[in-house]
Formats: sequence, C-alpha cells, structure tokens
Amino acid sequence: MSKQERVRQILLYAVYITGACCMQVTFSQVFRLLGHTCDLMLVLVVLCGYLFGTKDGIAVGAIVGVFRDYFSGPVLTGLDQKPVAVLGVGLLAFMYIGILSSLLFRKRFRRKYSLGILQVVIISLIYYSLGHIVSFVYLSMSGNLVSYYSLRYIAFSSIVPQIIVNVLASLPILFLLRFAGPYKKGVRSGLVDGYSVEDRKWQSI
Amino acid sequence: MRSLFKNRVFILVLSTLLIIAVIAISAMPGSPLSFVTKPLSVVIDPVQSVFRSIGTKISDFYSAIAEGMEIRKENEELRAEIAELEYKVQQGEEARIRWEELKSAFSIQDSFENYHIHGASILTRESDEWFSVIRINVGTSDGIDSTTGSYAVVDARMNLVGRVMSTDIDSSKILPILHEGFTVSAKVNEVNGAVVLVTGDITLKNDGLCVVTRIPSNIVLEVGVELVTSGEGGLFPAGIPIGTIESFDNSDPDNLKATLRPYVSIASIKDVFIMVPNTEEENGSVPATEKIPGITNESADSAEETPSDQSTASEPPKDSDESLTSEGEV
Repeated sequence: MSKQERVRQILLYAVYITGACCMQVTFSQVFRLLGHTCDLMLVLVVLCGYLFGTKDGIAVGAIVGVFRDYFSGPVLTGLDQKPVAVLGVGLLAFMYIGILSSLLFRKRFRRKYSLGILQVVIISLIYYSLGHIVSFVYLSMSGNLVSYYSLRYIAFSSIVPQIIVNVLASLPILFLLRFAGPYKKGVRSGLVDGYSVEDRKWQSI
Repeated sequence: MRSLFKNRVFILVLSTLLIIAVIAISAMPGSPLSFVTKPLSVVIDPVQSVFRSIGTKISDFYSAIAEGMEIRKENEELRAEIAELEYKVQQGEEARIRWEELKSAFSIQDSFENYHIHGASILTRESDEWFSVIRINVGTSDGIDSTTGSYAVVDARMNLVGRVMSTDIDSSKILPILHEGFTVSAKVNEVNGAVVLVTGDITLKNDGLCVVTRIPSNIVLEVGVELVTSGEGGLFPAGIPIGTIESFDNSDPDNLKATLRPYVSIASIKDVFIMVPNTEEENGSVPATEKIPGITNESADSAEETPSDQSTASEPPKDSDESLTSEGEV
C-alpha cells in the first residue's frame, strides 16, 4: 500500500469512526425507530471487519469500543458497592466483534457486499443475546436483580427490533464503504487474514 | 519467547487479560484509571461539540421553516401571558419583601440555599441498553469534581434527573434516575411522610418508571402521591421532587412495592443543573451536606454569622439552546 493510500485509509477511518460514534450518541432520537436507536458503531465495526479483514476489524473495533466506553460506558457496582462507570468493557466487546465479523462465515460469504447485511444480522443477534445473558448473570451475582425481562420480551421487543434498525443503518454504511473508501473501489487488495482471492468479482454488489 | 509474541492467539489472550485487568481496576474506588479519560476528553469533546452544534443548527433551521405559523400563534399567546405575568410579578415582589422580613425574623433557611447551581447541556445519551450513562458539558474546569463527592442533578423545574458519577476536564458522566444502578432515599411529600427507597429497574426503564421498595407495612401509597428526596445519605438534599406513584402492589404484605413515574423526561431534556454544595467557607463553619434544609432552629446569633450572599447562585447552561437563566434560579 502506497503512502498516499495509507493516509487516505487512516483519514477515512477517522471520519467514519468519529461520525458514527458522535452521531449515535448525540442524535440518538433522530436515529430512533421501533423504540431502538440504530447502533451505528456496531454496524461500522461489523462491516469493516467483514469486508476488510481481521486487522481492520480489530483496529476499528478497539477504537470504537474506547469511544463507547468514553461516551456512555456501562455502569457496574464497584468494590465499595457504589455504581461506577467502568472502562474497557466496550473496548473488549467491540474488539471481539471486529474479530468475529472478519472470521465468521468468511469462506461461505466470501465478503460479498450484499451478504454484509446478513453478517450484521448475525453479529447483532449474538451481541444482544450475549448482552442480555451477561446482564442477567451479573445482576443475579451482584444481588441487584429485582426482576428481568421475559424471554418473549427479549426476543420480540428487544432483539428483533434492534436487528431491524441495525440492518437499515447498515445500508448507507455499506454504500459508503463500497464507494467512498477506505480502500479504492471498496476492495482491500491482499487481505492479510490468509484468504487469497483470485479475482475480485465476488466483492462487487 | 519471541516466537510466543508472534503467535496471534497468544497476543489475543494477553490483550484480553489486560483489558479485563483495566475493567477491574476501573471499578475500584478512587481508581487511577479515571484520569485516563481526562486527556481523551480534550480530544473527543471538541469534536463531539462540533457534531452537536451542526445538528442543532440544522434542527433550528428546519424548525424555523416547519413551525413558522405555529410560532407566530404562540407568540401572540405569549404576549397576552406576559401582560398577565407582569401583574403577578408586582404582586410577587410584595410577597417577596414580606418573606424576607419573616425569614429574617424566624431564621428560616431556603431549601437549597446552601447549594450552587451549575447549568449544563447534555452532550451524549445512551448507546444501547447496557451503555446507558449520559454525558454533560461541565467538568473539573467548571469546579465540578467527582473525586470530592457526587452531586445531585436536576432539571429546570428542580426535578431529580440523576447524579454525577465521574468528571473529566470539560465533561461529566451522569447516572440517570431510570438506570438500574440508581438509588435514592425518598419520602412522601407531606409532614412526617413515610421514607421509602426509589431505585431504577431494568424492566421498567423502557416505560419510564422506577420501582419503590422498603415501604413501611402500615403505609398505603395512593396513585398520584408525590415523592421527594428525603435527604438521608447526604448526597441529595431533602425536598427535590422525584415523581408520582403510578401503581401500588400490596399482594405481599412483607414486601410492599410501588412504581413511580419520575417528573423528568430523560429523553426530551436538553439542559440540566448540578447542585454543588457550598464550601465550608461559604457556609460558615457547617458543611453543606450536614445542614438540614427547611426550617431550622438556629439561634439568631448563628443566623447573623451566615453570609448575606448565601442565596443559591445559578449559572445558565453552557452552550444552552434555550435561555434558561430565569428558570435556573432556585
């Protein structure tokens, strides 16, 4: 990759990351549908990992995770039994989302743009299901569990609507990644994750 | 050893363990990692502010076009209201003079006179169900420092919004009232009202409700009863309105429960106010958190020692979209 291409890649990633993170937390009401805010950060990490490989997935995931922790980090009960906004949960979660989205169904999906939407569905399903499980286990263990959502509520009022809004959010982001960069023509030549490609036709929409 | 660091799985496991250590350390009281976000805030906050101001300008422009006719009609109504209010202000001024006389004679304290009120605007809201704290645009540079204690956060009508959790240079994190980690001691807003506990509940927060527990067994909370902060615990001053009872469940006499609808609408507020206790120097010798708001029986001598400028100082929100200065005065 030439120096010019590297600069373009970094600049565009910086714009996408700050744009997605700031828009989601600043205009959450604007991006709200079916009672849920589009998770632009999640969608961006999933698509970057899926389309451009593990290294990009980890890097974008880690930075987005730090932003997420900074803006609205999760609250846990501290050692002094007081609620405290912890750092690192977003970093850990989104780093793994970046890795998972770059590896999951890599051979079957062959990084097709159209199947990026399916990858968003799969990773969203995993993220929100695990989120509820971890939340339930944590609240139970910390003794703060007064009540929790029913399975029906989790499935049909939490996860399904969130997946729908994430899919809608993935369309413009896919479009941006394909036509605006960070790589020319939306193709990262010589993916470093060991998956060689003879021709790039499969990456077209 | 060198080959170990070339192993991707090893690097991943090592990174994971490091991040878990960061999470654990950041959960410790007085964690040194809280300072990590301070340099981060220097970079991120200005960028986020740019996004916010662009969004506000677009929103204002759209509103000016879409709501033009509505604004004209509202303007006419407001003119009529102003005339009526001017008359009430005159009456209020007379009442104020009388109140000052009585206050001086009976050594009455205003409920929140030992607090400075700092105005702030909301910068960011929740990302999802688990990343759900709010960030506002005041921080240590404005004299808000969470290491010295937490602060109550209220809206323009003095209704409870939440509390300050952590502060950076130019921004702070707020734990909102609906969050499942939020707890406040409350009392029924009447003389000798029952003291209860209001907490956020994960299953109720989407409906904008909190749960009320530790209700004394001989108490029946009627729907519509108002709860205010009790002042127990020292974090929240007594008398801040919280909300009204939405439902009361007495099916288990040993575990009475109720739901409460907070007055504040977290989704729609743009500006909040932080109640910072005056320092000991400003208060005389008694710390603000130890003073019991309301009518006190202080001697006339101690009342004379109280500085004359003890009334609540109010500052409008930074970068506020609306002029709330008059509303912010308590």
